[in-house]
Amino acid sequence: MSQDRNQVPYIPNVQPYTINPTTQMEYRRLAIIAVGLVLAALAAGLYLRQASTVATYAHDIRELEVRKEKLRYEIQALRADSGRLGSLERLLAAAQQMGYHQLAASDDQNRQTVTYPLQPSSGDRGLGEEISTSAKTNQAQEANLFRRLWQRFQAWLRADPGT
Amino acid sequence: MMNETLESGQQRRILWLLIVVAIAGAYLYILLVGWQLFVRGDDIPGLLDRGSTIPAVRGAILDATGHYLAVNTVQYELDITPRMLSGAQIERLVPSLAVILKRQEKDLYTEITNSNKSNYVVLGRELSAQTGRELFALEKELLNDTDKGIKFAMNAFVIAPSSSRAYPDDGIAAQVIGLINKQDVKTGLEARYDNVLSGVDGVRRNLSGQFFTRAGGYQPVQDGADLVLTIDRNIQAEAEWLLLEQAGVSETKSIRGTIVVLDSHTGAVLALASSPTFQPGRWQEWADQPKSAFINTAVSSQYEPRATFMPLTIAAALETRVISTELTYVDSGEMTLGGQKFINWDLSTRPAVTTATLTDTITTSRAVGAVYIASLMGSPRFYEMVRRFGFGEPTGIDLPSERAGDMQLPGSPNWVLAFLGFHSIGRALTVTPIQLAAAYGALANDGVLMRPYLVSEQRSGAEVTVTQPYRVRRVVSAEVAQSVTRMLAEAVAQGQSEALVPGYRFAGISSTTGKPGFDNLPRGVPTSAYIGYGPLPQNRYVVLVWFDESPPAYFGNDVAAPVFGKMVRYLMDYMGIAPDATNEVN
Repeated sequence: MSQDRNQVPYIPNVQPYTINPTTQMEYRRLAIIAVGLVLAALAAGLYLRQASTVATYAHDIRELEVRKEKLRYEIQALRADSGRLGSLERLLAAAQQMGYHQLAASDDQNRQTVTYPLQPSSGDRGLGEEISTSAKTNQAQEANLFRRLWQRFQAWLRADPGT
Repeated sequence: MMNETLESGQQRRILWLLIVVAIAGAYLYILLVGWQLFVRGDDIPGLLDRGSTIPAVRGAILDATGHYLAVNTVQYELDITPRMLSGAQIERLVPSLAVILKRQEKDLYTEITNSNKSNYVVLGRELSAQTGRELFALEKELLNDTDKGIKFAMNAFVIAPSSSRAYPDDGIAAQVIGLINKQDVKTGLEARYDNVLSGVDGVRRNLSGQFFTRAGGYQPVQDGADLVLTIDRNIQAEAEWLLLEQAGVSETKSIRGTIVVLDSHTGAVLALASSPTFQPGRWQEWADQPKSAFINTAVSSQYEPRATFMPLTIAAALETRVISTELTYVDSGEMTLGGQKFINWDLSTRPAVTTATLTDTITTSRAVGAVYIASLMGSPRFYEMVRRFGFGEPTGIDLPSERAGDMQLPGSPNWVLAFLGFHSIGRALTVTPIQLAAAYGALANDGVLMRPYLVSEQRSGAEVTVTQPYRVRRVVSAEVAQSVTRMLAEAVAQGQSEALVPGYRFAGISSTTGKPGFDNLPRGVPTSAYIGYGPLPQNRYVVLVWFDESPPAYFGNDVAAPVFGKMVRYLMDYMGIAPDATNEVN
């Protein structure tokens, strides 16, 4: 079919594409709601995460506090035990078991006063000399001990690091 | 057109609604963040629960050598909730509990099963710390049992701890430490230092709300500070032993007695023993004990010092330069002052007229000499010196219920001149043992009066507060103090053999005293005392021994002096002070 160019060509009444304002509003609303939801979810997530962390810490703290309280009670008990173990009554009982007894301050018969420096009387000369000799021997032994310790210390200083 | 207007209005409303919702959301969000991060639990009223208290541990009391005299310990109570237990669980529980509680299985089983409807059954009270440890181990075992039929619920088994006071040395220095009972009655150091010993309870509070629960409002507990005393438990124990067993209260049948040992240079109290006393840990026995057992005799009892006051009169006269150490006077055996005749106690046995020195006055307790010296001084100077020695006011020792002593002073309606004579010989006035010991401490310490004290340190964690010795005042010059010391030492050497300790020189004097209202011995109610200090020349230790109502032997030299001698000998041994061969006679 030929086309008559004198005729006004048929142009359909096509409306240009436009967005319905109502539809546009719904998209915006959806977007806002979506963003709101995301933010709310984020806030809730953050809150839940924080609350759960706090609750965990609170539980840990509570457990530590309970443990601390038990330890405090244990310290109390140990202090009381140490006091009881060091009591005069117990010391006296232990000493009695070992064959000792408490000497009264006025008990002169079982009392020996040792004066220093030792000054033996004529009657005690033998004893005094013995004590004096014994003291000299002790001094010599102590001197030897220190000498030996010093030698060992020097030997250790001179030794190889690996030894 | 109309539709367009309608849509536009809807859009605006929706927009406003969104804005309002956004603002409200932002507000809530900010509030939430604020609560989570910045707001303290305490600032939100209504969200706080009452919380639970963490009880502070009461501080311990230690002696000078670091041993516990009073310390908190733990006792446990065991509660079971039978309705939370199955038969299998009870079968599992009973044998273990029987071993720990040292009870019959049958009894325990009956006790638990018969009270099946009860909320809980108390199976043990006041259980020891060791029992508590065993119960905790059992609880752990039961809670972690792999057999689900046996595994316990948390609340079925409750071990409740509580604190109680323990006294490891079973009542040493009980009068000093004092008591504390469940009715919160406190005496002694427990009362005086209650605010230090108590500490501050901690509080644990949980925030509770519809949306969240978190730990909050935690206030840490602050335990009480420990007190370290100047008292040495070994010296204290010896003093108490002397009072009770050796030669003190039981032997002399005195109703009360006290021994005070002071460090004259610092005022530190090394021993403060009183008898009768009580066992602080055994409150069940308190009802059977006399009331006097709870009175600290050394600070709360008053008596006439009599002869023990004369050296102080002499020191006062020397200090005010009314007399010199070379003074001699004619002692006729009696003297009148203010219309009152004063007679020497031994007038019937001593020659009526003698020439006496100051040392004689002390050695033989001549009332005439002391009254004569006081009359030379006159009232203003005498009473000023008495005040400077610390009489008429509490010493300030850190114990409650300290008494000041009674004395009529010039200016008071009942005072007459005769009181000057009475007071110069230690009559018609009362003092406490600690006052007298402190006054003699001044003579021993070259004339400087120190305040007696009992607590040397307060230890709170790493923080240590040390008590510094407190110098009250100079009472007399060092020369006067040394002169009187020489007289007192001479008195010991001449006439008080019971107080002598070979190898040591001590200054001292005995006194057969009376209580107010009882003048005539032996019909009155005598008290016997001995006070001394030494070893010379350092004069470090003051020892006072006092017995109340000690007939038939009532002379201070017979009753108190031997105990003084024993106490001094122990003290010299314990302190490692070697005897001096030159003092062998004394």
